Amino acid sequence: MGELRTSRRRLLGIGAGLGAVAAGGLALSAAWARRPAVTGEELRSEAELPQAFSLPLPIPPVLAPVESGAGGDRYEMVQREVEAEILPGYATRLWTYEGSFPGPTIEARRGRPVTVLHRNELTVPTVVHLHGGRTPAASDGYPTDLVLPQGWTGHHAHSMPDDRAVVTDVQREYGFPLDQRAAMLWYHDHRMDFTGPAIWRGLAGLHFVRDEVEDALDLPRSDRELPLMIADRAFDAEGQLAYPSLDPTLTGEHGVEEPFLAGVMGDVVLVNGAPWPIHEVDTGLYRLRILNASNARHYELEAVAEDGRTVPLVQIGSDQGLLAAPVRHERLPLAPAERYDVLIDFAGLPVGSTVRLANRLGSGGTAEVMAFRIAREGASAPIPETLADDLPEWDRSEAAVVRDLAFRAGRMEDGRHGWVVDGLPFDPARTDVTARFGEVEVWRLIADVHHPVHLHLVGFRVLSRGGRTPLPHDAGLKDTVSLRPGEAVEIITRFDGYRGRFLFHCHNAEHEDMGMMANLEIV
Amino acid sequence: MAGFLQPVFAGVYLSGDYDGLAWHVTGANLVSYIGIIQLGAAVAVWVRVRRAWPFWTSLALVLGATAQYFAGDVGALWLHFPLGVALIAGIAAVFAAVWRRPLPRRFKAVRAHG
Repeated sequence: MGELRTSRRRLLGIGAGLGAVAAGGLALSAAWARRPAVTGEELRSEAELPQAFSLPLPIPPVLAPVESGAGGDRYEMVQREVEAEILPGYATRLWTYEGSFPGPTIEARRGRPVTVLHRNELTVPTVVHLHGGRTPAASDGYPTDLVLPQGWTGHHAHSMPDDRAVVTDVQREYGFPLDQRAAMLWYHDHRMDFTGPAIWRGLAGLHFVRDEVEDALDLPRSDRELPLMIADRAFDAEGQLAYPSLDPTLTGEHGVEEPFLAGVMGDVVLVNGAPWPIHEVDTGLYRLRILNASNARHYELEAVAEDGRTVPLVQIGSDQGLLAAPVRHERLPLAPAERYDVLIDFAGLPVGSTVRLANRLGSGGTAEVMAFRIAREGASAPIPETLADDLPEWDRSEAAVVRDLAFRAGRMEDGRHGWVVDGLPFDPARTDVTARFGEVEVWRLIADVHHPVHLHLVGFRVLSRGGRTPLPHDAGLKDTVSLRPGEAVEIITRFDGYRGRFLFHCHNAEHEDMGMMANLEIV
Repeated sequence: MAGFLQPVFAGVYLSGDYDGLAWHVTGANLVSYIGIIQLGAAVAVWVRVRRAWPFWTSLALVLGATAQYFAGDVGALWLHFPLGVALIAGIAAVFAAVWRRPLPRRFKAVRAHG
């Protein structure tokens, strides 16, 4: 009996010890782990930052074509460094398209070709990719198709050889057939190894495609349609953009300092290049064309009126154009490179009040994005109940191939920490996926941490998320899908349009620069 | 056994094999069912031989496994990973305790399910 009692006591002791260790571990995890998961490390600005909602919202200028004819429109852009006042009282050096950040907007019509001559007057090679564009491979801005600046003597423009690269001196003409649905696309630098810092310095702009389907809907237009390019940045004490590059000249070793390997985030939220701007509206219906042009920061947008009430964001479109029917959101998640086309109705809100566009994933300054001031009464307009009827529908049964692709941490070629697709860092010379022209495929994308996965050339539908039905914001035709930690997403698409070498990659720009890209050869 | 296979399935899934996710879900269901059976057996042990600890440890494991299920379901990996490791440790400890201190003969068959 005594022996039993001792061993019972011992058992209880062991049980209590185990329980305490388990509880301690869980408590440690609960306290230490970031909930929700963060997608990078935040840089702290040293410059004096303006009060939120004190600066007006700039609207990027629309670029005029240098030539217009029956065959389309021709544009010219110069990539050059300028100084601009982003923070009041500071002159910030920027890399720009045509001297503005964001770059000038291109307005295009479906099926009317656009050519853009880009001239590189920066100090590093560049290459332009039209994100979301249905573009032939030669103009898709492959990361090694570099345009070298005048007098470039760099032996290695990037970390790996590529026999197929088409390198040009100083300028290059890109041709965009734009045979695609109306959508807000964006163009940005896509230089191998250095996309993150190039976008950070300002190389990004908007590109609209319009069509009859959109025209027929009578959606809010002109000053009631607001492009909002949201991007976070950080500024040093002199007001210059801070970015933790290993080589700040962006000519040598690529990559970022170790704490930022998961992604670089800033503590200042810019909308169209202005920190936490404010925009005057009336009590009518507005159309917001939202792009998350941040390198690594995710947002969860919520419009909040002064009385604390949530003003719904009614999603009418996705990355690749209009939805079939509107989807109402209280909160709208926004991963890097994703676009959302939303309607917001200010009807019933008092004149003189403000509506904040808050970021529920942020804290401190990054909890705010911008604000709208209700300046006057306006005419109300209904939200259409049905939208586009031209969305492609693909069925799982049509799929010729089902592929599993893992996006996770790994090592780059040089052994440094990086990010890999199916275990391999990007190599321009290796074909990772060969798809047959015209075939439907299902891709099952699997993530370790957050990875916004982008496919060039095609739009896709989201079939499932974590083995279940997609989330409300997965609706429509997309070109970037946000995988959450440990999550798998199934997408379906048809690889038509053009044959050739295209990319798919993570659009966390730091992941992308550290190996997380792969080649898609369409044959 | 089912519990110990769960990290295997999770590893297969995260290595890029989508089917690993379905296995991981099946494994989670199996662990839940076994947990409930074990809890029933533990109730029998408590009632028949007045030994309560198998019930309380089984209850703790079932509650932990339920939390684990939902943590995995909503993607709360900060909870899912450490709780999973703790549950495996708990299962191992209970297994060792049960087999080190055999119950009266007529209950052995029932307990073996756990």
